[in-house]
Order: sequence, then structure tokens, then C-alpha cells
Amino acid sequence: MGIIRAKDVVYEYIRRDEEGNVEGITRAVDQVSLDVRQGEFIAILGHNGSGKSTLAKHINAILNPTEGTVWVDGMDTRDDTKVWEIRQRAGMVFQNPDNQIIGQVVEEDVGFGPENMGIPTKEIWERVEESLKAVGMYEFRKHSPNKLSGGQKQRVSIAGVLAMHPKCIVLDEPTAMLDPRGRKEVIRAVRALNQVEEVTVVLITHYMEETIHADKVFVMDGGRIAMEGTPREIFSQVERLKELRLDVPQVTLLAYELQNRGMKLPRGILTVEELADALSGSGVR
Amino acid sequence: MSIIVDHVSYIYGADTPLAVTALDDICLEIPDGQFVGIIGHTGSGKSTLVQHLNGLIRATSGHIYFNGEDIYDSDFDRKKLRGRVGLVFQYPEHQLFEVDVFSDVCFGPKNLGLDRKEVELRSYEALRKVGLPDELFYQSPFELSGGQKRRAAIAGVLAMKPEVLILDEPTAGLDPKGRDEILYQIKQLQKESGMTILLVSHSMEDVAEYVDRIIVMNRGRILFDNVPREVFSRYRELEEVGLAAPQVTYILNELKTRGLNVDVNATTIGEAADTICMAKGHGG
Amino acid sequence: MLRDITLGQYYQTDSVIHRLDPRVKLAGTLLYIISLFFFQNFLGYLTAALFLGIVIGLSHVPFRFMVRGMRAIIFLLLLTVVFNLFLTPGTPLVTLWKVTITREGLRTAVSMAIRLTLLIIGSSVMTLTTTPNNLTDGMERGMRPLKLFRVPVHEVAMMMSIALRFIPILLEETDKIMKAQIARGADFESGNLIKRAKALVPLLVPLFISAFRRANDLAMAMEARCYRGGEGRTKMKPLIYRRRDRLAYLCILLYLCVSIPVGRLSFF
Repeated sequence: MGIIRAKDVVYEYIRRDEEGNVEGITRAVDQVSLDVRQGEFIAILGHNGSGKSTLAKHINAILNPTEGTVWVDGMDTRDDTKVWEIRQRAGMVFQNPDNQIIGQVVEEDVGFGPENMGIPTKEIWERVEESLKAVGMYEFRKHSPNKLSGGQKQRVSIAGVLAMHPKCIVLDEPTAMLDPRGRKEVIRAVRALNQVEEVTVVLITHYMEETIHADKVFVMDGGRIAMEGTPREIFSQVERLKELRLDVPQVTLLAYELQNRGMKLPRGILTVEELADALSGSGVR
Repeated sequence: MSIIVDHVSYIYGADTPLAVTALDDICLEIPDGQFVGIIGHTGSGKSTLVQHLNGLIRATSGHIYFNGEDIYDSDFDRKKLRGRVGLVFQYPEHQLFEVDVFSDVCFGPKNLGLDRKEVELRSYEALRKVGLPDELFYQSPFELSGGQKRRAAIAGVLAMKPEVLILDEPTAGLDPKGRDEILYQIKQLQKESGMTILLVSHSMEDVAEYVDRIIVMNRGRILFDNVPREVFSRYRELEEVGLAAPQVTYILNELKTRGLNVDVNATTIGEAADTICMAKGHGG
Repeated sequence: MLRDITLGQYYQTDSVIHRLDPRVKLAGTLLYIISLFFFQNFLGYLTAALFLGIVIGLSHVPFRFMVRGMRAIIFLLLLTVVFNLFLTPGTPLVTLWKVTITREGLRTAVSMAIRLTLLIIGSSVMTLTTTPNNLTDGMERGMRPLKLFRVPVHEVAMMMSIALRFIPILLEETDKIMKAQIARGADFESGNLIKRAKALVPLLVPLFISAFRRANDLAMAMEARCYRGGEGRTKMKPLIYRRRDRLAYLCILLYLCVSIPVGRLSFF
């Protein structure tokens, strides 16, 4: 069984008007099943309101499914006695960098999780050091978080989760509020985590280009999983992605446009090199 | 009729040991009706620059002329200037405060001292312009979706009928579709009303299709100020300051170095496809 | 515009004072302030100033940072001085129009000014050299006996440290919302009291909403990182008295033993 498994998960919440009367029920997550294996890099794509963040909060036992079950490392997230263990195994990084840093000094923030877990002091220091080094923020350990850039703050948040020694990290739109430079920094750190530290990564985003290195991509729409496959499989379906209010990287779009004009190109081109290779290779003559 | 920025510098905390030069000797002229993109990463001074244009921040040195008048003149009405140069801040939905969307949009024109009928007329018009459906007008602004909130907030500035509209990162935090819709709407506005528009962004790709001119800011200075294709052709220098040209530029340059005779100045997908087809002698 | 407040802002550097246990600094500051109220002559203040000077020298914090903190209270200081100067009865010294400056008035005014200045600079030495987190840690430990009386010591300390972390963020946000509303023609500066209070609505409503949203996000982030109150928590930076701390206590004691008798000598 995988590290994260969801079976037929449904999450509903009740909308109320100003007087508190029930106006209706919204189904934010609708019959979602997925299975993530240890060490995988999974991306969940979707437009705002597609249910991707709601789904993510189930993995950390912040939300419990209305129907269906979520298992993290074999533990049912509805089991109250396991909540803290689940939260330690599956760490979570949120969207707004300012609203998740608790410490006033970088290193103290990274130590917050291990402190809560009751880790001995000496080991906390070791964990803080290795986590900060893993995200390349060690030299900022004595700084105030308020003086860091958005990308740096998010890397500190990632280190804060890493210090809890999780098996899996869920990142809920960690780049949505960052500029391109910060976005690159964070994605680089996340990839290193997955490849070097072998942590399972679930990256939730609406930026397509951040998912090209994922092992598997899920596209959500209306609370359901609308598409599922490798990045190449997903990106070859340009029309479908546009229908789902998503963006396609310009390379893929250009390749698609050229194909439409009758040029023969491989499907699902993801990088500048791939397209250049395809174009400068066979068809030049 | 134009905005002229004449040797403007701005220093944060000028009299303290922590003084930081946010703007360093900026000179530029923005003629009427132009659609300008101001690009730079966080901390490049782009937001500080636009806040000078409606008098929110006063330059440490230099002058700003609005339609030929120095806005720092003692008899210049800076309060009125804020109605003529509308500024939509980043995450503008964070300023919504009224009980319903319509009253919130009325806040701006009401502050201009217009009579009630005119206020309501302008607010209605502005909400229409941003494409917000009528049934949302009397809802609480806090019940709208992210994209709708953003539109309502933009309408709040539009209702003041500014001659110049400045938008600071109007697409931040929106999903791709939401981003395209807002940008499209802004372009429509510019076409229909001939308003001067300044779009502040950190993404070249976002603005490439829409603007007539790009000003690239770096460390409080203007690095480039030209038409998009000229700016993108300096993509290596852009990279040095942490910015990037649209992917198309990279593809075309890569193809060029591999000996394909393409026009590297194409900026949109359509243009790029055209030049590639031409170079490859393809019928398309 | 709101970020100029230095009072209580940590100054990052490395010094003996920075490394002291926060409990030492808390107790030291408290005792120092108390000592100021014991003095009856200027020799006492001189001793106190000397002691403070040595501490500042050891702290490696530039003196101008200390003085900048004073700016915020300069008005209060002047007010106290003026009141004491003109309103203390006693032997007249100078008479200007209808007000009289007395010898006693002059004396109290000057001593009040010195006392306040030393008090403010003294306590800012503590906040400038102690991270707020460290400070709340020190308070948490120092107040531990209160737990017996069911005072939620850990929770209070946690609340304080979170508040301290969010003050600069909320100040910046206030600044931003204010500017945004001014750009929409809002006027926060003119009109009578009622009009001004009304003008604050467009600032306060968004600010409260934002503060609630942040609180909500933060609570979720803390829970996600296994926070469940003070029970079973360990400390990354536990407070342990070292030799330098004991030495510091000794210095404080020494200061008190010297300054108070000297400050109460009657022939000055």
C-alpha cells in the first residue's frame, strides 16, 4: 500500500445564510481516489475552486472526509488517536508565507515542529541544521523572517516541515504569492527534497510549468479528478487543459500550433530543448 | 496631455542609518492613451514608482508633471489628482469594506464630492465595465470568489473615471483563466475609452501580448524602456537581473543558433509559428 | 511611516549581553528600574548612568539605536519636565510673567528627566539584546510558579510571542490599506472628531478581516506542525544558568549595593 491512499473521498460543507439557515450543501471533493507511493513526486493541478486545496487538507488530517477514507502510511485519518502521528508523517506547507511562520528567528521557527513533538534539545539542533541546509537557508538561520523574500520564507516553511522528519510533504500552492524568482527557488528546493532526501512530494499548484518534473499529474475540476497521467500525457491534451481553465507552457502551445498547421512533431513537448531538437532534426531539409 | 517624470529619486528613511534608495534618478514620459507594462521583480522599485504618479509618495528629489503642471506645486490640488490617476493596489480585494459591492464601488466617486445620482451612475457603469454580473451588485463583497472580488475592487477605482489607470500586479494569485480574463478586460477598457494604462507586473509573458511599451526596472533604475520585441531581444541581460523573456524568445533563439533562419523578434505564439513555418518552407 | 518605532526591536549582533539568560536581563532591568526610584541625589543617577554605559558598551548596540527609541517618548518627557518645573511649590528662583520656577521644581524636573531617560534606555537595552521569543521564554520560566494558581503561563507566553511576530506585519498592512483608500479619495486627516472616526471604517474593516484571516491560517499551520499546547513540549533553546549569568547577577547585586547607599547620601 502507498504512503497516501484515498478511496472514494467526498467532502461536503454546509453553506449558511446570514441568519444561519442552511442554504445548500457544496461538494468540494467528489469521489476522489488516489494512491501515492513512497518517494514519488505527485502534482495536483486545478483552477481556483477546483477542490485541490480541500483535498490536500485531508492528507494532514486538518479535514476529515464526509464519505470515503484517507490513509496516511496505513493510518486512517479519522482515527483521533493517530492525528499527531499523521501530521508528523505528512507535513504541510501553505500558500501564504507570512501566515505560517511562527518563530521570530529563522532557526527557532524550524525548531517549532520538533519542539511540539517532544524531541530532545540536542537532536532539535541537528534537525534544524540539516533541514535548513537542505533548502539552502542555513546562512539565514539567525535572521528575522520579516526581512526575507517570499521565496526564502517559503523555503523556511519547508525546512520547518522537514525538521519533523516526515515521509511526505504536501505543498498547497506554495508559489501562488511569489514572483518568478521566488517560484523557481521554491520549486528547486522541492525537487531536491524529493530527489536527495527521498521525501514523497505532493505539489498543489495552478502553474503547469512547475509540474513537468513530476512522476504523475492529477488535474482536478469540480471536486473530481478530471485527468491523470504523466506530465507528457497530460500536456499533449492542450484543448482539454484549456477547457479546465489551465495554462499550457508556451513551448507546448507552440508545438501544438505547429502540429495544427500540419507539421509532424512528437506529442506533449515539455521543454525548449525538446522542441528545438524536434524542429532542427528531421524536417529541416 | 501626459505624465512626465523628471529626475525623480526616492530614498526610504532618508534621515536614518537604514536609508535605502528605492528610486534612482528616474526620467520618463508617458503620452496619452498608451498601454505601458512596468516589469521588475520584487524590490525593483516598480511599485514605489507608480505610487509617485498619483502623489501617494513624495519624491525625495525631482519633479513630476501631470498635463504640464508640477504636482508638487503648492497650489496644485493633489487630492483631485488621485481621482485623475487611479491606482489599483496589489490584492485590491483586501480593501473592500462595505456591506455590498455597489456601496463599496461608490466609495471612490463619493469621495470626489459628486452628487448621488452621478455617483451611482458611475458605479453602475464601472461594474459593468469589469464584467461583473448584475446579480452580484448587492451581495456582500466577502461572498464573491477571488476573481470577482478583484473585479469589484478594480471597479472601485474605475468609478472615479480616472484619465490614467495604474494596476499593480492585477493578476497576482489568480489562476491562469482568471488572469487572462482580467488582462483581456483591461485591454478592452483601453481600446474603448482610450485611457492611459500602466500595468505593473513581474511576468513578461503576461504583458507581452497586451502592451505597447515595456519599462524594465531593476534596483530603482530603468534598465530598458522600449517596445516589447526590442526588450525581449535583450533576454540575456534580462536574465542577469532575475527576469526572463517569454519562452518563445528562447525557442526562436535556440533554433537560430541551430541554423534555422527564423525571425527571433516574434513575441507571440502565432508570430513564432509563422516564422518557423516560413523557415522550414512549410505550407502553413 | 509606521515602521520607525524602534522601541523594543531586537538588534541583531553578538555580545555578552546578547548571550545572557533572559531571566537575568528581566530581573536586572526590573531591579535597575526600581533602583532609580531610590535615589535622592545626582550621585545616584551618575552611578546608574555609569552602570548603564558599561552595559551598553558591552552590548555592541550602536548608541544611536538607543536614542532613536527615545524619540517616541520625547513629548512625554517634555511634558513631565514642564509640569514639574512650573508647578512645584518652593523657593522661587526665576519668575517669568505669571509663572515661577522654584529651586525644588528645577530639581524635580531635572531628576525626573534623568530618571525617565535612564528608565527608557535601560529597558530598551533589554529588548534590543533579547529576541522577543527569548524574552517570552524567560517570562514563561520566571512565571512558572503562577501555574500553581492555574494561570495559563505557556499560553500567555505563546500569545505574546505570536503578537510580537505579527505586529510588524500588521503595521505594514495598515500602511498599505491606508494608502489604497487614500488612492480612492479617502481622507484620514481633516474634519472633526466624528468625521475622522467615521473615516477610519474603510481602514479598520479590512484590517480586522485580514487579522482574522491570518489568525485562522496561523492556527491551521500550527496544528499541522503538531502544536497542542505546552504539554510534552521540549525546548530548542532551554534556559540554563551558566557562569556568565551567575556573574551577571553578582554585578547587578554589586551595583545595587553601591548605587543605593550612594544615591541616598544626604550631603549632595
